[in-house]
Amino acid sequence: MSGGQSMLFVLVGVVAAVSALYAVLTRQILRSIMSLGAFLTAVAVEFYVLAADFVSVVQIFVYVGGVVVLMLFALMLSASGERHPLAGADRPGLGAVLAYLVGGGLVVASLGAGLPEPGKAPAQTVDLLGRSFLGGQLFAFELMGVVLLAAVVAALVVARGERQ
Amino acid sequence: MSGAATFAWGALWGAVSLTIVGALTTVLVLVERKISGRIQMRVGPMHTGPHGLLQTVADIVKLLFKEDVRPARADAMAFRLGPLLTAVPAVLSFAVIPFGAPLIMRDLNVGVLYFLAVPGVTAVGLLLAGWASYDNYSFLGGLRSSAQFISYEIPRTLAVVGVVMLAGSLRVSAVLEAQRTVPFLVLEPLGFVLYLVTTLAEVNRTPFDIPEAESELVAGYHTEYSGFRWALFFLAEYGALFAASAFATVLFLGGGNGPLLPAFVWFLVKTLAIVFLTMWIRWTLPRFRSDQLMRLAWKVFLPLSLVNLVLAGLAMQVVAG
Repeated sequence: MSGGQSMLFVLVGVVAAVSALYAVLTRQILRSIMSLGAFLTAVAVEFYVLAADFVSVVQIFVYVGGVVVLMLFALMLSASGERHPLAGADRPGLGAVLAYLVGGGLVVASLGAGLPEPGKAPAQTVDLLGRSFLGGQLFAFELMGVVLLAAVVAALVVARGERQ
Repeated sequence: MSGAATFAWGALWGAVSLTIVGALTTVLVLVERKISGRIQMRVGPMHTGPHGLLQTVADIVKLLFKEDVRPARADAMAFRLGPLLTAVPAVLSFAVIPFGAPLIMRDLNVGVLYFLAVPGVTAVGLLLAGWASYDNYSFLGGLRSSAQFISYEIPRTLAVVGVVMLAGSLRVSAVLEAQRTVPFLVLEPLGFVLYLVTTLAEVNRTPFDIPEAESELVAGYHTEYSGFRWALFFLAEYGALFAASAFATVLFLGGGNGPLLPAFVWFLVKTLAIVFLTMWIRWTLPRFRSDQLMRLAWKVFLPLSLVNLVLAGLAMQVVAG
Protein backbone atom coordinates (compact mmCIF):
# COMPACT_ATOMS: atom_id res chain seq x y z
CA MET A 1 0.00 0.00 0.00
CA SER A 2 1.19 3.50 -0.78
CA GLY A 3 1.31 6.26 1.84
CA GLY A 4 -1.98 7.77 0.65
CA GLN A 5 -3.71 4.39 0.79
CA SER A 6 -2.54 3.70 4.35
CA MET A 7 -3.71 7.15 5.40
CA LEU A 8 -7.14 6.52 3.82
CA PHE A 9 -7.27 3.09 5.46
CA VAL A 10 -6.64 4.55 8.94
CA LEU A 11 -9.04 7.48 8.39
CA VAL A 12 -11.91 5.27 7.25
CA GLY A 13 -11.06 2.82 10.03
CA VAL A 14 -11.62 5.58 12.58
CA VAL A 15 -14.99 6.41 10.97
CA ALA A 16 -15.92 2.71 11.11
CA ALA A 17 -14.94 2.39 14.78
CA VAL A 18 -16.76 5.58 15.84
CA SER A 19 -19.97 4.68 13.97
CA ALA A 20 -19.86 1.12 15.35
CA LEU A 21 -19.53 2.47 18.91
CA TYR A 22 -22.36 4.95 18.36
CA ALA A 23 -24.58 2.17 16.97
CA VAL A 24 -24.13 0.23 20.22
CA LEU A 25 -24.21 3.13 22.67
CA THR A 26 -27.13 5.24 21.42
CA ARG A 27 -30.54 4.63 22.98
CA GLN A 28 -32.46 5.67 19.86
CA ILE A 29 -33.05 2.72 17.60
CA LEU A 30 -33.28 4.75 14.36
CA ARG A 31 -29.92 6.43 15.05
CA SER A 32 -28.51 3.02 15.88
CA ILE A 33 -29.57 1.57 12.52
CA MET A 34 -28.31 4.59 10.57
CA SER A 35 -25.00 4.41 12.40
CA LEU A 36 -24.78 0.72 11.57
CA GLY A 37 -25.33 1.67 7.93
CA ALA A 38 -22.45 4.16 8.14
CA PHE A 39 -20.25 1.48 9.72
CA LEU A 40 -21.05 -1.05 6.98
CA THR A 41 -20.31 1.54 4.28
CA ALA A 42 -16.98 2.38 5.94
CA VAL A 43 -16.08 -1.33 6.01
CA ALA A 44 -16.94 -1.52 2.29
CA VAL A 45 -14.49 1.33 1.65
CA GLU A 46 -11.83 -0.51 3.69
CA PHE A 47 -12.33 -3.61 1.52
CA TYR A 48 -11.88 -1.47 -1.57
CA VAL A 49 -8.66 0.08 -0.24
CA LEU A 50 -7.43 -3.47 0.42
CA ALA A 51 -8.02 -4.34 -3.30
CA ALA A 52 -11.03 -6.59 -2.56
CA ASP A 53 -13.33 -4.75 -4.95
CA PHE A 54 -15.87 -7.57 -5.35
CA VAL A 55 -16.34 -8.00 -1.59
CA SER A 56 -16.58 -4.22 -1.23
CA VAL A 57 -19.45 -3.82 -3.71
CA VAL A 58 -21.26 -6.89 -2.41
CA GLN A 59 -20.99 -5.42 1.09
CA ILE A 60 -22.90 -2.33 -0.13
CA PHE A 61 -25.36 -4.43 -2.14
CA VAL A 62 -26.28 -6.91 0.57
CA TYR A 63 -25.77 -5.00 3.81
CA VAL A 64 -26.53 -1.34 3.08
CA GLY A 65 -29.07 -1.92 0.30
CA GLY A 66 -30.60 -5.03 1.86
CA VAL A 67 -30.09 -5.62 5.56
CA VAL A 68 -30.27 -1.96 6.66
CA VAL A 69 -33.44 -1.48 4.58
CA LEU A 70 -34.99 -4.58 6.17
CA MET A 71 -34.07 -3.33 9.66
CA LEU A 72 -35.64 0.06 8.95
CA PHE A 73 -38.68 -1.69 7.51
CA ALA A 74 -39.06 -3.83 10.63
CA LEU A 75 -38.61 -0.79 12.90
CA MET A 76 -41.22 1.22 11.06
CA LEU A 77 -43.78 -1.60 10.99
CA SER A 78 -43.38 -2.27 14.71
CA ALA A 79 -42.90 1.21 16.14
CA SER A 80 -45.50 2.88 13.87
CA GLY A 81 -43.91 6.30 13.96
CA GLU A 82 -43.14 6.50 17.69
CA ARG A 83 -39.56 7.17 18.68
CA HIS A 84 -39.07 4.15 20.87
CA PRO A 85 -35.88 4.15 22.90
CA LEU A 86 -34.10 0.83 23.07
CA ALA A 87 -35.13 -1.28 26.03
CA GLY A 88 -32.32 -1.96 28.51
CA ALA A 89 -30.82 -5.44 28.51
CA ASP A 90 -32.05 -7.85 31.21
CA ARG A 91 -28.60 -8.73 32.51
CA PRO A 92 -26.17 -5.97 31.54
CA GLY A 93 -23.47 -7.35 33.89
CA LEU A 94 -23.37 -10.77 32.26
CA GLY A 95 -23.36 -9.23 28.78
CA ALA A 96 -20.49 -6.90 29.63
CA VAL A 97 -18.39 -9.75 31.07
CA LEU A 98 -19.00 -11.88 27.99
CA ALA A 99 -18.21 -8.99 25.63
CA TYR A 100 -14.95 -8.17 27.45
CA LEU A 101 -13.93 -11.84 27.49
CA VAL A 102 -14.51 -12.32 23.75
CA GLY A 103 -13.03 -8.94 22.80
CA GLY A 104 -10.01 -9.39 25.07
CA GLY A 105 -9.48 -12.91 23.77
CA LEU A 106 -9.49 -11.65 20.17
CA VAL A 107 -6.98 -8.89 20.99
CA VAL A 108 -4.64 -11.33 22.80
CA ALA A 109 -4.92 -13.87 19.99
CA SER A 110 -4.19 -11.30 17.26
CA LEU A 111 -1.22 -9.86 19.17
CA GLY A 112 0.26 -13.30 19.77
CA ALA A 113 -0.27 -14.54 16.21
CA GLY A 114 2.49 -12.43 14.65
CA LEU A 115 1.10 -10.77 11.54
CA PRO A 116 2.51 -11.89 8.17
CA GLU A 117 3.99 -9.38 5.73
CA PRO A 118 1.29 -7.87 3.47
CA GLY A 119 1.17 -9.79 0.18
CA LYS A 120 0.71 -8.46 -3.34
CA ALA A 121 -2.99 -8.18 -4.22
CA PRO A 122 -3.97 -9.88 -7.50
CA ALA A 123 -5.22 -7.49 -10.19
CA GLN A 124 -8.45 -9.44 -10.74
CA THR A 125 -10.13 -10.84 -7.63
CA VAL A 126 -13.51 -11.52 -9.27
CA ASP A 127 -12.16 -14.29 -11.52
CA LEU A 128 -10.36 -15.98 -8.64
CA LEU A 129 -13.42 -15.80 -6.39
CA GLY A 130 -15.72 -17.15 -9.10
CA ARG A 131 -13.37 -20.02 -9.91
CA SER A 132 -12.99 -21.05 -6.27
CA PHE A 133 -16.77 -20.79 -5.63
CA LEU A 134 -17.50 -23.14 -8.54
CA GLY A 135 -14.29 -25.15 -8.10
CA GLY A 136 -12.67 -26.10 -4.81
CA GLN A 137 -15.31 -24.48 -2.60
CA LEU A 138 -18.29 -25.79 -4.59
CA PHE A 139 -19.60 -28.02 -1.80
CA ALA A 140 -19.56 -25.24 0.81
CA PHE A 141 -21.13 -22.84 -1.69
CA GLU A 142 -24.00 -25.19 -2.50
CA LEU A 143 -24.45 -26.10 1.17
CA MET A 144 -24.87 -22.41 1.95
CA GLY A 145 -27.61 -22.22 -0.68
CA VAL A 146 -29.45 -25.13 0.95
CA VAL A 147 -29.16 -23.53 4.40
CA LEU A 148 -30.55 -20.23 3.08
CA LEU A 149 -33.41 -22.05 1.31
CA ALA A 150 -34.25 -23.82 4.58
CA ALA A 151 -34.28 -20.42 6.32
CA VAL A 152 -36.70 -19.01 3.72
CA VAL A 153 -39.04 -21.99 4.07
CA ALA A 154 -38.86 -21.74 7.88
CA ALA A 155 -39.71 -18.03 7.74
CA LEU A 156 -42.71 -18.80 5.53
CA VAL A 157 -43.91 -21.50 7.94
CA VAL A 158 -43.60 -19.12 10.90
CA ALA A 159 -45.47 -16.35 9.06
CA ARG A 160 -48.22 -18.68 7.83
CA GLY A 161 -48.62 -20.32 11.25
CA GLU A 162 -49.33 -16.98 12.88
CA ARG A 163 -52.08 -16.17 10.42
CA GLN A 164 -54.14 -19.33 11.07
CA MET B 1 -2.26 7.22 -11.82
CA SER B 2 -0.89 8.51 -8.53
CA GLY B 3 -3.15 8.91 -5.51
CA ALA B 4 -3.53 12.69 -5.88
CA ALA B 5 -4.27 12.45 -9.61
CA THR B 6 -6.89 9.75 -9.00
CA PHE B 7 -8.48 11.92 -6.34
CA ALA B 8 -8.54 14.98 -8.62
CA TRP B 9 -10.02 12.89 -11.48
CA GLY B 10 -12.70 11.54 -9.14
CA ALA B 11 -13.55 15.00 -7.81
CA LEU B 12 -13.80 16.36 -11.36
CA TRP B 13 -16.15 13.54 -12.34
CA GLY B 14 -18.22 14.12 -9.23
CA ALA B 15 -18.69 17.77 -10.20
CA VAL B 16 -19.45 16.83 -13.82
CA SER B 17 -21.95 14.13 -12.75
CA LEU B 18 -23.71 16.58 -10.46
CA THR B 19 -23.95 19.12 -13.30
CA ILE B 20 -25.18 16.45 -15.71
CA VAL B 21 -27.88 15.30 -13.27
CA GLY B 22 -29.02 18.89 -12.69
CA ALA B 23 -29.09 19.75 -16.39
CA LEU B 24 -30.73 16.43 -17.32
CA THR B 25 -33.50 16.89 -14.79
CA THR B 26 -34.19 20.39 -16.10
CA VAL B 27 -34.42 19.14 -19.68
CA LEU B 28 -36.16 15.82 -19.01
CA VAL B 29 -38.94 17.33 -16.88
CA LEU B 30 -39.74 19.76 -19.70
CA VAL B 31 -39.55 16.99 -22.31
CA GLU B 32 -41.78 14.79 -20.19
CA ARG B 33 -44.38 17.54 -19.81
CA LYS B 34 -44.32 18.20 -23.54
CA ILE B 35 -44.61 14.48 -24.37
CA SER B 36 -47.43 13.97 -21.88
CA GLY B 37 -49.17 16.97 -23.46
CA ARG B 38 -48.88 15.48 -26.95
CA ILE B 39 -50.12 12.07 -25.76
CA GLN B 40 -53.13 13.69 -24.07
CA MET B 41 -53.90 16.00 -27.06
CA ARG B 42 -52.63 19.09 -25.19
CA VAL B 43 -49.68 21.36 -25.97
CA GLY B 44 -47.97 21.29 -22.55
CA PRO B 45 -46.34 24.39 -21.00
CA MET B 46 -46.33 27.27 -23.54
CA HIS B 47 -46.03 30.61 -21.73
CA THR B 48 -42.51 30.76 -20.26
CA GLY B 49 -40.06 31.45 -23.07
CA PRO B 50 -40.57 30.41 -26.70
CA HIS B 51 -42.92 27.37 -26.74
CA GLY B 52 -42.52 27.13 -22.95
CA LEU B 53 -38.84 26.13 -23.25
CA LEU B 54 -37.84 28.05 -20.11
CA GLN B 55 -40.59 26.57 -17.92
CA THR B 56 -38.33 24.26 -15.87
CA VAL B 57 -35.62 26.94 -15.56
CA ALA B 58 -38.25 29.21 -14.01
CA ASP B 59 -39.32 26.29 -11.78
CA ILE B 60 -35.75 25.91 -10.47
CA VAL B 61 -35.57 29.58 -9.55
CA LYS B 62 -38.91 29.23 -7.78
CA LEU B 63 -37.74 26.12 -5.87
CA LEU B 64 -34.53 27.83 -4.74
CA PHE B 65 -36.48 30.70 -3.19
CA LYS B 66 -39.21 28.61 -1.59
CA GLU B 67 -39.41 28.35 2.19
CA ASP B 68 -37.89 25.17 3.60
CA VAL B 69 -40.75 23.83 5.73
CA ARG B 70 -40.24 21.05 8.25
CA PRO B 71 -43.24 19.54 10.10
CA ALA B 72 -43.08 20.36 13.83
CA ARG B 73 -43.03 16.71 14.95
CA ALA B 74 -40.66 15.48 12.25
CA ASP B 75 -37.36 13.85 13.23
CA ALA B 76 -34.90 16.62 12.26
CA MET B 77 -31.89 14.43 11.43
CA ALA B 78 -33.78 11.82 9.43
CA PHE B 79 -35.82 14.52 7.65
CA ARG B 80 -32.61 16.15 6.38
CA LEU B 81 -30.85 12.86 5.63
CA GLY B 82 -33.73 11.37 3.60
CA PRO B 83 -33.47 13.52 0.44
CA LEU B 84 -29.65 13.38 0.52
CA LEU B 85 -29.53 9.57 0.74
CA THR B 86 -32.03 9.47 -2.14
CA ALA B 87 -30.12 11.80 -4.47
CA VAL B 88 -26.47 10.91 -3.74
CA PRO B 89 -26.63 7.25 -4.96
CA ALA B 90 -28.18 8.45 -8.24
CA VAL B 91 -25.21 10.78 -8.79
CA LEU B 92 -22.70 8.11 -7.67
CA SER B 93 -24.02 5.65 -10.25
CA PHE B 94 -22.69 7.94 -13.02
CA ALA B 95 -19.15 6.86 -12.07
CA VAL B 96 -19.34 3.65 -14.13
CA ILE B 97 -21.35 4.86 -17.13
CA PRO B 98 -19.21 4.82 -20.31
CA PHE B 99 -20.27 7.87 -22.35
CA GLY B 100 -17.92 6.77 -25.15
CA ALA B 101 -14.53 5.04 -24.96
CA PRO B 102 -12.42 7.31 -22.69
CA LEU B 103 -15.39 9.01 -21.02
CA ILE B 104 -15.79 6.75 -18.02
CA MET B 105 -14.65 7.76 -14.57
CA ARG B 106 -13.47 4.34 -13.47
CA ASP B 107 -13.69 1.11 -15.46
CA LEU B 108 -14.06 -1.00 -12.30
CA ASN B 109 -13.48 -4.76 -12.36
CA VAL B 110 -16.94 -5.01 -10.83
CA GLY B 111 -18.57 -2.09 -12.70
CA VAL B 112 -21.82 -3.93 -13.49
CA LEU B 113 -22.25 -5.03 -9.89
CA TYR B 114 -21.46 -1.49 -8.69
CA PHE B 115 -24.24 -0.16 -10.86
CA LEU B 116 -26.74 -2.59 -9.35
CA ALA B 117 -25.55 -2.07 -5.75
CA VAL B 118 -25.07 1.67 -5.31
CA PRO B 119 -28.49 2.95 -6.46
CA GLY B 120 -29.96 0.39 -4.04
CA VAL B 121 -29.03 2.73 -1.18
CA THR B 122 -31.82 5.01 -2.46
CA ALA B 123 -34.29 2.72 -0.66
CA VAL B 124 -32.80 3.82 2.68
CA GLY B 125 -33.34 7.48 1.75
CA LEU B 126 -36.97 6.96 0.70
CA LEU B 127 -37.78 5.02 3.86
CA LEU B 128 -36.16 7.65 6.08
CA ALA B 129 -37.90 10.53 4.31
CA GLY B 130 -41.27 8.84 4.58
CA TRP B 131 -40.87 7.95 8.22
CA ALA B 132 -39.27 11.20 9.39
CA SER B 133 -42.10 13.33 7.96
CA TYR B 134 -44.45 12.07 10.71
CA ASP B 135 -47.33 11.87 8.27
CA ASN B 136 -49.42 8.84 7.34
CA TYR B 137 -49.26 9.43 3.57
CA SER B 138 -45.49 9.84 3.63
CA PHE B 139 -45.11 6.84 5.89
CA LEU B 140 -47.17 4.55 3.63
CA GLY B 141 -45.29 5.85 0.59
CA GLY B 142 -41.94 5.07 2.25
CA LEU B 143 -43.01 1.55 3.26
CA ARG B 144 -44.39 0.77 -0.19
CA SER B 145 -41.28 2.04 -1.90
CA SER B 146 -38.95 -0.13 0.17
CA ALA B 147 -41.09 -3.26 -0.25
CA GLN B 148 -41.21 -2.63 -3.99
CA PHE B 149 -37.48 -1.91 -4.16
CA ILE B 150 -36.46 -5.13 -2.42
CA SER B 151 -38.89 -7.26 -4.46
CA TYR B 152 -37.88 -5.94 -7.87
CA GLU B 153 -34.16 -5.88 -7.11
CA ILE B 154 -34.07 -9.70 -7.34
CA PRO B 155 -35.47 -10.24 -10.88
CA ARG B 156 -33.56 -7.15 -12.03
CA THR B 157 -30.23 -8.52 -10.82
CA LEU B 158 -30.99 -11.94 -12.30
CA ALA B 159 -31.81 -10.32 -15.65
CA VAL B 160 -28.36 -8.70 -15.63
CA VAL B 161 -26.69 -12.01 -14.64
CA GLY B 162 -27.58 -13.35 -18.10
CA VAL B 163 -25.59 -10.53 -19.71
CA VAL B 164 -22.66 -11.13 -17.36
CA MET B 165 -22.69 -14.84 -18.31
CA LEU B 166 -22.48 -13.97 -22.01
CA ALA B 167 -19.81 -11.30 -21.53
CA GLY B 168 -17.84 -13.40 -19.06
CA SER B 169 -16.96 -10.32 -17.03
CA LEU B 170 -18.37 -7.72 -14.62
CA ARG B 171 -16.22 -5.03 -16.24
CA VAL B 172 -18.21 -2.46 -18.25
CA SER B 173 -15.62 -2.23 -21.05
CA ALA B 174 -15.61 -6.05 -21.39
CA VAL B 175 -19.41 -6.12 -21.66
CA LEU B 176 -19.18 -3.54 -24.47
CA GLU B 177 -16.32 -5.43 -26.16
CA ALA B 178 -18.39 -8.64 -26.18
CA GLN B 179 -21.12 -6.81 -28.11
CA ARG B 180 -18.83 -5.54 -30.86
CA THR B 181 -20.59 -7.64 -33.53
CA VAL B 182 -23.99 -8.57 -32.04
CA PRO B 183 -25.70 -6.54 -29.27
CA PHE B 184 -27.03 -8.66 -26.41
CA LEU B 185 -30.57 -7.53 -27.25
CA VAL B 186 -30.49 -10.15 -30.02
CA LEU B 187 -29.22 -12.95 -27.76
CA GLU B 188 -31.15 -11.90 -24.66
CA PRO B 189 -34.51 -10.34 -25.66
CA LEU B 190 -36.26 -11.64 -22.53
CA GLY B 191 -33.48 -10.25 -20.34
CA PHE B 192 -33.88 -6.83 -21.94
CA VAL B 193 -37.64 -6.75 -21.34
CA LEU B 194 -37.17 -7.93 -17.75
CA TYR B 195 -34.48 -5.31 -17.09
CA LEU B 196 -36.62 -2.54 -18.55
CA VAL B 197 -39.81 -3.43 -16.66
CA THR B 198 -38.09 -4.01 -13.31
CA THR B 199 -36.17 -0.76 -13.80
CA LEU B 200 -39.48 1.10 -14.12
CA ALA B 201 -40.38 -0.36 -10.73
CA GLU B 202 -36.99 0.53 -9.22
CA VAL B 203 -37.21 4.18 -10.18
CA ASN B 204 -40.88 4.38 -9.14
CA ARG B 205 -42.25 5.17 -12.59
CA THR B 206 -45.79 4.45 -13.78
CA PRO B 207 -47.18 1.78 -14.01
CA PHE B 208 -45.22 1.08 -10.81
CA ASP B 209 -45.40 4.50 -9.12
CA ILE B 210 -47.47 3.23 -6.19
CA PRO B 211 -45.12 4.81 -3.59
CA GLU B 212 -46.22 8.23 -4.83
CA ALA B 213 -49.68 7.42 -6.21
CA GLU B 214 -51.22 10.90 -6.09
CA SER B 215 -54.84 9.78 -6.02
CA GLU B 216 -54.37 7.79 -2.81
CA LEU B 217 -51.16 9.00 -1.12
CA VAL B 218 -51.02 12.72 -2.08
CA ALA B 219 -47.33 12.64 -3.07
CA GLY B 220 -46.09 9.65 -1.04
CA TYR B 221 -42.77 9.99 0.74
CA HIS B 222 -42.17 13.58 -0.40
CA THR B 223 -45.58 14.97 0.62
CA GLU B 224 -44.11 17.06 3.46
CA TYR B 225 -41.07 18.37 1.58
CA SER B 226 -40.76 21.77 -0.06
CA GLY B 227 -38.18 23.92 -1.78
CA PHE B 228 -34.85 22.41 -2.66
CA ARG B 229 -35.18 19.35 -0.45
CA TRP B 230 -38.19 18.45 -2.59
CA ALA B 231 -36.17 19.19 -5.73
CA LEU B 232 -33.57 16.63 -4.56
CA PHE B 233 -36.20 13.89 -4.94
CA PHE B 234 -36.79 15.04 -8.50
CA LEU B 235 -33.06 15.12 -9.22
CA ALA B 236 -32.84 11.58 -7.85
CA GLU B 237 -35.76 10.32 -9.91
CA TYR B 238 -34.62 11.72 -13.25
CA GLY B 239 -30.93 11.06 -12.54
CA ALA B 240 -31.73 7.43 -11.75
CA LEU B 241 -33.99 7.16 -14.80
CA PHE B 242 -31.24 8.42 -17.11
CA ALA B 243 -28.55 6.29 -15.45
CA ALA B 244 -30.69 3.15 -15.68
CA SER B 245 -31.46 3.86 -19.35
CA ALA B 246 -27.75 4.45 -20.01
CA PHE B 247 -27.01 1.12 -18.39
CA ALA B 248 -29.65 -0.62 -20.50
CA THR B 249 -27.74 0.78 -23.47
CA VAL B 250 -24.49 -0.67 -22.09
CA LEU B 251 -25.95 -4.08 -21.22
CA PHE B 252 -28.20 -4.76 -24.22
CA LEU B 253 -27.70 -2.21 -27.01
CA GLY B 254 -23.91 -2.29 -27.35
CA GLY B 255 -23.22 1.13 -25.79
CA GLY B 256 -21.54 3.53 -28.20
CA ASN B 257 -21.10 0.89 -30.96
CA GLY B 258 -22.56 2.04 -34.27
CA PRO B 259 -21.62 3.12 -37.79
CA LEU B 260 -20.52 6.62 -38.92
CA LEU B 261 -21.33 8.73 -35.85
CA PRO B 262 -18.89 8.96 -32.90
CA ALA B 263 -19.46 6.64 -29.91
CA PHE B 264 -20.59 9.49 -27.67
CA VAL B 265 -23.44 10.44 -30.02
CA TRP B 266 -24.58 6.83 -30.48
CA PHE B 267 -24.58 6.32 -26.74
CA LEU B 268 -26.75 9.39 -26.12
CA VAL B 269 -29.16 8.54 -28.97
CA LYS B 270 -29.73 5.00 -27.66
CA THR B 271 -30.07 6.15 -24.04
CA LEU B 272 -32.53 8.93 -24.86
CA ALA B 273 -34.57 6.49 -26.96
CA ILE B 274 -35.01 4.32 -23.86
CA VAL B 275 -35.83 7.37 -21.74
CA PHE B 276 -38.50 8.28 -24.30
CA LEU B 277 -39.85 4.73 -24.15
CA THR B 278 -40.29 4.98 -20.36
CA MET B 279 -42.11 8.31 -20.72
CA TRP B 280 -44.35 6.87 -23.42
CA ILE B 281 -45.20 3.96 -21.09
CA ARG B 282 -45.86 6.35 -18.20
CA TRP B 283 -48.47 8.36 -20.06
CA THR B 284 -50.12 5.36 -21.74
CA LEU B 285 -50.59 2.71 -19.03
CA PRO B 286 -52.65 2.91 -15.81
CA ARG B 287 -51.09 2.26 -12.39
CA PHE B 288 -50.98 -1.21 -10.82
CA ARG B 289 -52.53 -1.88 -7.43
CA SER B 290 -50.13 -2.58 -4.56
CA ASP B 291 -50.93 -6.30 -4.23
CA GLN B 292 -50.87 -6.80 -8.03
CA LEU B 293 -47.43 -5.24 -8.06
CA MET B 294 -46.08 -7.66 -5.45
CA ARG B 295 -47.68 -10.67 -7.12
CA LEU B 296 -46.17 -9.61 -10.42
CA ALA B 297 -42.68 -9.39 -8.90
CA TRP B 298 -42.66 -12.74 -7.10
CA LYS B 299 -44.90 -14.92 -9.27
CA VAL B 300 -44.15 -13.62 -12.77
CA PHE B 301 -40.85 -11.77 -12.95
CA LEU B 302 -38.84 -13.99 -10.60
CA PRO B 303 -39.68 -17.25 -12.48
CA LEU B 304 -39.19 -15.48 -15.83
CA SER B 305 -35.77 -14.24 -14.75
CA LEU B 306 -34.79 -17.83 -13.89
CA VAL B 307 -36.00 -18.95 -17.33
CA ASN B 308 -33.88 -16.14 -18.75
CA LEU B 309 -30.81 -17.60 -17.02
CA VAL B 310 -31.38 -20.94 -18.77
CA LEU B 311 -31.83 -19.12 -22.09
CA ALA B 312 -28.59 -17.22 -21.44
CA GLY B 313 -26.86 -20.58 -20.93
CA LEU B 314 -28.22 -21.76 -24.28
CA ALA B 315 -27.11 -18.51 -25.93
CA MET B 316 -23.62 -19.10 -24.51
CA GLN B 317 -23.56 -22.49 -26.27
CA VAL B 318 -24.69 -20.89 -29.54
CA VAL B 319 -22.02 -18.17 -29.32
CA ALA B 320 -19.34 -20.74 -28.47
CA GLY B 321 -20.53 -22.70 -31.56
